[in-house]
Amino acid sequence: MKHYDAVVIGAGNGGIGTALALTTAGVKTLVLEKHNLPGGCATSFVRGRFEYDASLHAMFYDLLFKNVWENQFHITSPVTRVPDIITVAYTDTDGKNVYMDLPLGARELVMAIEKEIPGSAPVVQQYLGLCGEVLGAAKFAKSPDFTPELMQEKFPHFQMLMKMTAQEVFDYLEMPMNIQAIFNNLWWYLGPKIDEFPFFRYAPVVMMLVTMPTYFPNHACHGYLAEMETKIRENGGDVWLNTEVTEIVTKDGKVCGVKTNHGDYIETTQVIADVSPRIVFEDLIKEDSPKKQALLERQKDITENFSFTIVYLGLNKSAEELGIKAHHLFIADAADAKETYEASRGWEGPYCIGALCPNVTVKDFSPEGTCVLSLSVPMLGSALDGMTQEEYFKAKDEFAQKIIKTTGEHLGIDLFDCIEEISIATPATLSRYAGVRNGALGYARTFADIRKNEAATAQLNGGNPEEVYEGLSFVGQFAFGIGYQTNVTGIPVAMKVAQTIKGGN
Amino acid sequence: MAHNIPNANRLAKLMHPKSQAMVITNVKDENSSMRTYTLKASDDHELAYFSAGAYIPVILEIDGNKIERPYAICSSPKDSVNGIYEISVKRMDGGYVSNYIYENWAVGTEVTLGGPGLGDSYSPIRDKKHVIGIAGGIGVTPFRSMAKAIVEGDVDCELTLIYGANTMEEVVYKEEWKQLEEASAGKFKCVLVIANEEIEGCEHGFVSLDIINKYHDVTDASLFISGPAGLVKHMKTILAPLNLQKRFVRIGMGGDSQFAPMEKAGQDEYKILVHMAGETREIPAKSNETILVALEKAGFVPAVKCRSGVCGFCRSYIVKGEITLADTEIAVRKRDKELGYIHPCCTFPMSDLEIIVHRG
Ligand SMILES: Cc1cc2nc3c(=O)[nH]c(=O)nc-3n(C[C@H](O)[C@H](O)[C@H](O)COP(=O)(O)OP(=O)(O)OC[C@H]3O[C@@H](n4cnc5c(N)ncnc54)[C@H](O)[C@@H]3O)c2cc1C
Repeated sequence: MKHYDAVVIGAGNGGIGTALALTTAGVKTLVLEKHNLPGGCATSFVRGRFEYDASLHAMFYDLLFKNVWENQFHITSPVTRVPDIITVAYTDTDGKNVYMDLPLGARELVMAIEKEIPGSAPVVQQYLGLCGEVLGAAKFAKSPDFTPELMQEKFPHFQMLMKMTAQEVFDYLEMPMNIQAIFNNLWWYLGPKIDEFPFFRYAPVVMMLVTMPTYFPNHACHGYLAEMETKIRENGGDVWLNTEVTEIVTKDGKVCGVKTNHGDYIETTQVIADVSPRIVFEDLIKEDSPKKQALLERQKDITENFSFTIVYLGLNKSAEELGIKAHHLFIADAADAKETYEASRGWEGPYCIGALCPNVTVKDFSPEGTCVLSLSVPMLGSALDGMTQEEYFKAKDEFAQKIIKTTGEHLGIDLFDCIEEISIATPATLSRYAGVRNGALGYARTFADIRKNEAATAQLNGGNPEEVYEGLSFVGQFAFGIGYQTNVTGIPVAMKVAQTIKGGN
Repeated sequence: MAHNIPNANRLAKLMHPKSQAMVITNVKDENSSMRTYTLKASDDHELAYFSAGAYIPVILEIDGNKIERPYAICSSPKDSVNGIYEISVKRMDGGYVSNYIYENWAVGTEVTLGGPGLGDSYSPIRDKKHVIGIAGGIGVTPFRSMAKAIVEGDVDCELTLIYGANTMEEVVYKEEWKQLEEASAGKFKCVLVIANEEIEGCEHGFVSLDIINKYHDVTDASLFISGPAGLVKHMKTILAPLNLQKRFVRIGMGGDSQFAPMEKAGQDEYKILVHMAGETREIPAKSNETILVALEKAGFVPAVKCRSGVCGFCRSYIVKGEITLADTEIAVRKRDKELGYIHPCCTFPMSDLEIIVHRG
C-alpha cells in the first residue's frame, strides 16, 4: 500500500503552494490533480501561436509573491510591473461614451478625473479618503499603539463606514452617477451587488486598483506554477496529474486515506483539500458527522458568487498599433453598477467588461506584431439554466460577438479586423476546471452572507483548531473565502500540518 | 449524497465525458481502403455536442493494451443531437489501430469513445464568410461534417472544397458531395482535383492557385487545409508568396502519421526510465519513434488525446536526457520548454531518458 505523510487534493494555486511549503519542510507529500496540468482556475492554454492565462489580471508582487515565493522558496519565474495607467470607459447616464486613461496614485487620479469631469475633484478626493480610512484603520487595529480612543481620533468615519454598503457611501457623498461609474463597475472583483456590498470590502479593491502597483508573471501563472511543480518533485514530493480523488476515507472522524479514479488507495493521516468544502463534504467524505451536517446547513443559503464568461482573443496587431495603452481596461455599458449586476444573470447586457492586455506589461507575451486581449464578463452560472448543448454553442458565439463589438466601440478599435484566434470560456468551463457549482468563484459575501457564514468559513479555514475531521484542512479560494492571492493561502496550513506530523500525532 | 446539479455543471459534464459507450449500427465501404462507421449510444446517453471539425478519441484494447486514437468526426453536429456520430477509418500499411478497427468492427460491435476534442472549426467571428477547404486523403473527413452543418443551418458560411486525389477510386463520399451541393442552395461546392486521371467535371493535376482561384478568390477566404504531410507542404509553398494573414490559413492536425519516420532522429536505440504514478520501469525506445509510441508499446497507458503536439494533454517531464522535437507546430508552453516539460506524442529520444508521465 502506498503511504504519504500528506496528500494535497488539487493543484490549483492553493494546493501547489501548500505542497511546496510542505515538501520544503520535509513532509513526504503527494499532490493529486484531476486535470493534466497544475493551475485549476489559473490554468493556461495555447491556441495557434498564442498562449493565454485563463484568469489572472494582476498580482501584488511586493506584498506576497516576492516576500514569500522568491525570498523564502526561491522561485525564479520572472514578473513585470504593470505600467501605472488604467483605462476606464463607460456609457454615462446621457448615453454618451466616456473614455479615460487614468494614472495610478490617489493624487494623480483626482487631478486626471478633474480634467475629464470638471468640478469632480472634491468628491473624488473625499471618496478616496474614505477608502483610505478603511485600509488605515484595519492596519491600525493590529498595531501596538492601538487604543479605541486613538482609533476614533485618527479614523473618525470608520465606525460609520463599517456599517455601510458601497452604494451608501456614494450616496453619503452625493457623488453624481457619472463619477460613481469610474469606481462602481469594479464590483465583479468580489461579487456582491453594489447596494449589498460591504464598503469595508469594497474600499480595499478600489484602493488597490487605483493606487497600488501590480505585477504580471511573464509566462502567465502557469510559469511559476510549473516551476513550483518541478520544485515539489525536487524536494522529494510527487505530483500525479490526471488523477481525481473520488473519496477521502475517514474512520471515527479521522482521515486515513484517499481513493482515486484509477483505483489507487493512498494511506495518509493528513489531507489538504484545495477544493470547495461543500464538494468535499457532499461528495468526497462518506462518513457522517454532526459537525459536517451543521456546516453544510449553514452554507446552504449563502449567496453563490457569480462566475465569468471570458472571450480570449489572439490579435494579429500589437497593442501599440491598436492604441491599447493600459493592461487593465474597465469597460461598462452603463454607469449604474446595479444595472450591470442585474445583467450578469443573463446574456443581453448592459455589459461590464474587464479587459486585459498582458502585452502592455510583458511586451513579448505573444509573438512580435501581435497581442492577447481577454475580455472577462461577470456572469452568474444560472444564465446557462435551461440551455441544451446545441443552444449553448450558439449562445457562446453570439455573446462573444456582442462583447467584442462593445469593447471595440468603447476603445475605438475595429477588433473584428485582427482576430487570429478566439476561445470562449463560460461558467460551465469554470465549473469544469474548479469542480464547483455554477462555476461560482467563492461566496458573494454580502452583509447578510458575512453574518451567516463568517463563522462557518472561519471554521473551514485550515488554521482553525476546531476541525470537522481530524487531519483534514482546506486551502485555496474557498477556505480563504476569497479568490485572490490564493497561492499563499496554504502556507500557514502547511506549517501546521508539518508540525503535527513532526510532533508525531 | 443526492443534490441537484446546476445546468452549467451538467453541460460541462455532457460536453466533456470521460467516455461514451457506443454501438456500431452501420458500416459502409467508401472505397477499397476506407470505411465509414455509424455509432449510436448503446446506453441512450445524450452525446457530447461539438463544432464541425472536431475529432473524437476512440478508446480500444488491443492485445491487452489500452490505446486511444483521435478520428475526425465526419457526421454533423445535428447528427449528434439525434444520437449519432460517424467516423471514417482509412486502412494503412502497418497501421496498428486502423487495421484492428478494419478487421474487428462490425454492426453490433460495442465501442468506447471519449469526448470530442478541438479541431479546426469555422468561427463566425474570426473567419471570412467564404471558406476554401483543401483536402487530401483521410483529411477530407471533417469537411463532410462541415458541409452537412452548412446544409443543416448550423454553420453560417460558404464552403468550396478543393479535394485532391491521385485517382477517382480514391475519392470518398462521391454521391454525398453531390447531394450536399444540391441541398446547399449554392453555399457548398466540391471540386475534385485528380492527379493521375483526366476526368470530365474534375480538375486534372495537383491542387494549384489557378485551380483554386477559378472557383473562389483565394485572398478573400479562410483556408482550412487538411491532409497528408505532402499536401500540407505543397500548400505552404504555393501560398507563401501571397503573404496571407495567419488568421486566414488553418492547418489541420496530422496525428502520428505526420511525424514518422523522423529523418533527423536517426535509427538509434535507447532506454527510458519511466515513472508513472508510483510505478517505475525501464523500457526500450527508438530515436525514430515518439516517446508516446515507446510507452504504449511497453504497455503503459499514458494520458493522450490529439497525438499531434497540439492539445498538450500528454504533457510530461524530462528528468534527464536529450530529446528532439518534430518539425510541426508544437504547442508546448514557453515556460514548460525552459523547465523540461514535453509532449511525448511529438518528441523523440536522443539519448537514454528518465521521464515522469501521467496515466490516461
Ligand atoms: C477570470 C478570472 C480572473 C481572475 N483574476 C484574478 C486576479 O487577477 N488575481 C487573483 O489573485 N486571482 C484572480 N482570479 C482568481 C484565481 O484565479 C483563483 O482564485 C485561484 O486560481 C483559485 O485557486 P485555488 O487553488 O483556490 O482553486 P482552483 O484553481 O479551483 O484549484 C482547485 C484544483 O483542484 C482540482 N480538483 C478539484 N477536485 C478534485 C478532485 N476530486 N481530485 C483531484 N483534483 C481536484 C481542480 O482540478 C483544480 O485544479 C481570477 C479568476 C478568474 C476566473
